[in-house]
Amino acid sequence: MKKYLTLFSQRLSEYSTYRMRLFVTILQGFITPLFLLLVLSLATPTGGTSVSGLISYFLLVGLIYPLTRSRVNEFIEEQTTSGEINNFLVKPISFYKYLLVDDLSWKILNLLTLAPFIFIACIFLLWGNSPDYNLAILGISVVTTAISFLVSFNFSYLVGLFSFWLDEFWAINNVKLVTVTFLGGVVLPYSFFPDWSNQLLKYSPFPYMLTWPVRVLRGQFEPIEIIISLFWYAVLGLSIKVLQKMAISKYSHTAS
Amino acid sequence: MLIQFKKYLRLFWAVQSAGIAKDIQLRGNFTMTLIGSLCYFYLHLISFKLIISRFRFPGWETGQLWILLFTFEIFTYLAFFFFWRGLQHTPKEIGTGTFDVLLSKPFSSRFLAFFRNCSLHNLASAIFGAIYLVFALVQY
Repeated sequence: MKKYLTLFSQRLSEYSTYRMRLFVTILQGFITPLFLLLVLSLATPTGGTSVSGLISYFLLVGLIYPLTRSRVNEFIEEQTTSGEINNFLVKPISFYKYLLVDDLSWKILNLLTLAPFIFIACIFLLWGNSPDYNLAILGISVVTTAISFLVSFNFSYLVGLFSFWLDEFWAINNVKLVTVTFLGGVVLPYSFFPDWSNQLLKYSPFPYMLTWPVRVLRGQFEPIEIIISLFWYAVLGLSIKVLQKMAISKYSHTAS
Repeated sequence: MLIQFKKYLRLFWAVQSAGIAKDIQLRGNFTMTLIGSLCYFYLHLISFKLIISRFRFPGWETGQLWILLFTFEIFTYLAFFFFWRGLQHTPKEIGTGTFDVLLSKPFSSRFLAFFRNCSLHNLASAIFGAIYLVFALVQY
């Protein structure tokens, strides 16, 4: 445990040194939402969708998305293609835990940077509600942000393991990116989707990866979602365990 | 001038046909890359369909919007087809020093650097865009 804590503090200090990367990452989260807002502000709503509702949704997505998304699959691909993954195979350190701690330190730094903006957004969103309700919503949103990050991390890690078998990994990375951002509600809110697809999506892992805390802050939370998200976290975790075992044996076989 | 143009056209064709032959030989990779490419293609289509079901754009009819989208798809994937691999590989090669190989060739290094062997999956997506464009033009 101590080595992971040391790693966490090392990474935190390293990432905070390169402030430009932090700035670009945060800015990246706002590009798609702001572009969509710009286009949609020139259009006329027809089906009960209001542009003001979309503004608050996309601004919150821009603030929460950097905290919940994970791109660990790209790192796994780099490590396997370059062969640097060998460093983890010979050392007494878990590759999964190393990446989790690494990603977590990055998220904590993102959170520290975005905290004032999230605080202001929460004041606007929760203004006029009772203090008890606001505290409950804030507490649930913190829990859902943590679970969202973990589900997103596990999903990315699982996708990353396919780089042990595939040469053109960017293709599967594209599939992952498109599926997760579209079905995760980053590109468009779920109110744009047909009802039947929303019912189906509710039981998939996608709503619990990126924008779940946004929906919680907007008052769209059902307790059953916690159970579904934890179920998917466990399923993805088990799949990682099985696939990683297969991947490592395949990797050693190729290298021999 | 015309001789130079013909020379580069021949070179372009030779590089492209070698790239396409490689893509066709490695069918597993080609299938994966085509799926990856088409994923973005259909993401644009579905997102666009959802947006125009909820919003109207003054001065634009639905058919005109679809034609705009498919034209955008064709040009985007053609740009990917021609330039993507060059833009992706050139900075890496400069960094690792392998760009020297291109500099030593008896052709314009800029031409060789940008028009690499193109990715067939991007051309396939551009063709998809063209087919949809024809359908949209017939329908509207």
